[in-house]
Amino acid sequence: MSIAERVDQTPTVPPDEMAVPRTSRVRLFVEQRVAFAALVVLVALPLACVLAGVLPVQDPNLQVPTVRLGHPTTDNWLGADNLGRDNLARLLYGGRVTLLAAVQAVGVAVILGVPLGVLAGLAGRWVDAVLRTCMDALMSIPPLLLAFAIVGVLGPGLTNAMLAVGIVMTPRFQRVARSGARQVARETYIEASRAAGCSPWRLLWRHVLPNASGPLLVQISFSIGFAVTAEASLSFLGLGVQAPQASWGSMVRESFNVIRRDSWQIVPPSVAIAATLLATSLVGDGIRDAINRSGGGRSAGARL
Amino acid sequence: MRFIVQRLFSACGTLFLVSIAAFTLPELARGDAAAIIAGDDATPDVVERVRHNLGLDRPLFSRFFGFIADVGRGDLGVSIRVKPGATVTSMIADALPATASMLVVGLLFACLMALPLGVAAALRPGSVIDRMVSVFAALSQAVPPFVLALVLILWLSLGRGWFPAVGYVPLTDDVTQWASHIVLPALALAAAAGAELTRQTRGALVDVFEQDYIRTAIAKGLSKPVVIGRHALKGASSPIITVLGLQVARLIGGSIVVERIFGIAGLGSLAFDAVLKRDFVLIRGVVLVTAVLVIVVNLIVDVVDDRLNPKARA
Amino acid sequence: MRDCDAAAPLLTVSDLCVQVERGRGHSAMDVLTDVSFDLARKEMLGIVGESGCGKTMTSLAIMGLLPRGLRITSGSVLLGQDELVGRSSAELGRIRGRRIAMIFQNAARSLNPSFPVGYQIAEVARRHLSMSRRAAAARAIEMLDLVGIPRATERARQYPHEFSGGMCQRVMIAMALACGPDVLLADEPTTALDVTVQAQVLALLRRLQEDLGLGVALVTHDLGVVAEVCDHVVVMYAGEVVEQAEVEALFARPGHPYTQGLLGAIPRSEHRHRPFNAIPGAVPRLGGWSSGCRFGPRCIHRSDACQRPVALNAWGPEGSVRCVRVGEVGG
Repeated sequence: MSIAERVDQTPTVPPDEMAVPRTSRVRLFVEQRVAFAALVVLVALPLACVLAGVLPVQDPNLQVPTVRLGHPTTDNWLGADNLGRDNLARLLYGGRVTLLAAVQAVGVAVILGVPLGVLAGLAGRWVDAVLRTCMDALMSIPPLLLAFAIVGVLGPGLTNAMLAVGIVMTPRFQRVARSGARQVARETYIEASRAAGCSPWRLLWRHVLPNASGPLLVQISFSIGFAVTAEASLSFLGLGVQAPQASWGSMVRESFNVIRRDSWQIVPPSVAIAATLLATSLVGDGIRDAINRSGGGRSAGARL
Repeated sequence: MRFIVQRLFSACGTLFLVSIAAFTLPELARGDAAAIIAGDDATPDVVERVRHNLGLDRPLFSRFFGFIADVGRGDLGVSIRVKPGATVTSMIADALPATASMLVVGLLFACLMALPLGVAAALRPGSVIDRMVSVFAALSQAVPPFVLALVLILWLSLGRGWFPAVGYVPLTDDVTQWASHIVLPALALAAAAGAELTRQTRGALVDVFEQDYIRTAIAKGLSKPVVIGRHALKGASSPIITVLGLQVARLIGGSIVVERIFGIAGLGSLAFDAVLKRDFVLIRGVVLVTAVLVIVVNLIVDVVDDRLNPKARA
Repeated sequence: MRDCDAAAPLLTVSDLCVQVERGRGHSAMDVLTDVSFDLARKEMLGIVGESGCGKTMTSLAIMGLLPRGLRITSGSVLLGQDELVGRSSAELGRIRGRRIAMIFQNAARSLNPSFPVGYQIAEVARRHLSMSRRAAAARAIEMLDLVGIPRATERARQYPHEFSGGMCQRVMIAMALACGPDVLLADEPTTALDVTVQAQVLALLRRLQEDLGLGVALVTHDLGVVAEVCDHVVVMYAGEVVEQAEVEALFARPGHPYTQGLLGAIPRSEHRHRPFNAIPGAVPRLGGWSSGCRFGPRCIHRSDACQRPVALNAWGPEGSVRCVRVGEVGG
């Protein structure tokens, strides 16, 4: 099995648990709530970042020497950094950069990966095999390393970094789109539609995309999380965001520089990153569970 | 046997594509490579001489096959920026033990975490334990490696002083020192992988526990540890080691940041230095070597999988 | 009729009740109610009934292999002199495979695809008889030979997917009998097999029973199988035993209307031009059982007396029937 095939077969979906009448309904409900709560967070956070200019938030670049490395107070809810800048403000404004960058990266991956995936799913075996080997090759290079290498070649900067991350994430989208397309291709109504003179584009629009949309959404959710981490990693190492722009990654970097003097500083950006990652993870899980709602039909095994 | 040959063939194909990618990478760089290498104040003559020396004036194909031939001989070029004059191969060889240690110990941690938790959760799906394991796994996955690294340093190193915060001691020098230096980095690196492994283990085991042959094993009177350890885990081994193989790439990538934080001179640090100084030859070498590592690991995983779970081949 | 040993039965099931838990606020549902029967040495007992009657559950309950959510709530299962109900899984583990064994319907799925069959058979021997690897491996080959698998030494090293369905079932039998148990529970062992293979496997079971002195409880929905190989029959309906008899007596003079219906429903060439004698209605689902006679709703002889729970009454030479109107109807 090539790496790509193995990725296909490793469901991001753990198989459904046995339907235990007692707790399954409760669990479903709770899980729905959890996924929903995660979605709320996932919407609220970017919203807060975008509306930062409108909200009563301080100027992120204003340096107040008296509160350098300050801990949370009524003035600075999340404290202040080593230059006296308000952390909450920096978090929100930095969040804009990070989240936008993540969306850009995912956008790149979708634009590159989905068409290639659909092509692989609908075209002949050779095309599929060649594409699979290409994706294999891409996936053989550790993701962050590849992003690094691309940035190394193109030069530092957020745009290049996100382009790199997007390329790195492309294979996953290619696989997902491919399996969606293949499933549809196997259906006989495709033959019927083709026979009826349906153009390939129409086929794509009306049949392939809706079928693959679920798994694609799940992948998008997970990928946003990955992209946020990747941006943070790259910016942490100075290869992403360049000063004076700030992002969550650069905030972690700066807090790392003062870590021995003040350990509080890494908390705000780290929590923000982790929370986003957790939220995207839970939302992805939630969507995936909603798709696989069938479940059941399993013979319960004997009790061990 | 046929299977192994098939896989080898496929791996070679992948490797070939990777080498194309690795080769092409520096070509994408903006600016004239020779000029960059020669330095800012080199005269056009010098630049041309450098270009010729590096063979950069030969046509693309010829250079590519030259590259392949060199790689075949183990020659990955000479570093131009990070350590001018040193062969890339020697630099990678020096850096490899540290990263390899982190990887191996990290994977060990990941397995040590995933197996007990996965089994415990799978034995009682839907129970409190299962939910707790799920939550723990979700949280572990949500914390990026470098954040975890910082937290661990703060808490266990600067805080409690249990482990050193910086550096690496080779295994061959001093085992205890090696161990104490490797624990925190490996932990930081592997937590997320361990979480993913836990989920997959649980999922695979839940599936296996429902199979008829597990019921037979119980009906035969085999003890619970044997049923789980021998029959169930073997049945679940396929997806589990599959995920393990996929995690290796992720771990290597993560090592870049973790090594920076812990000040470890491994492959990750090397890659970082290379990128920072735009040492294309080194970048290319590191990319190639890590890709080979990943491909080889996945090949081994495939072979092991085939040995453990011989499948009917139609 | 075979010469069944009239001495102490190997297996005695008494008033076995199994329920399924349904969570807070719901009372538990009955799955098996007061199931009782004996199994003697060298006896082939048929447990027969349609899908959903509880025959498989009975065999699982005896072995302690009930799925999650189902429990034995009362009753007893005596293996020789030893009570099985209420034992810990560790204790049951020492008994299963050693003194009582079970084979299942889908043999191919019941074998672990990752281990060679010889290994799976040897495993039981090593577990219960403390045999060395070599001795156990030899034992495995011996057993494969016993069940009629040709080239046993070679085949022992092969994996389940290299065997046909009928062969897999033979392997399962070999595995079940490796430690010489007294009792074998066979849950529809031939249902998934071709008719010819079916006959072979049944013949094998019969032969082994003779040679090894086993008591075999054969769960099946096929009356033809019962007629062919069984000595005694237990007929189940909706979680209850509705009739027990020696096989000849059952076929000659069935006491319970359900049994009569089953026998009448067997297509016979003499009845070629007549419509099928199907039993009206359908098997009621779990939880939809009436509180009186559970067959009542479908019974053409239903009376008022059938609204109350019915006990087993003696009938025929050695049988019993759960019907208040037995003797008055059919036969």
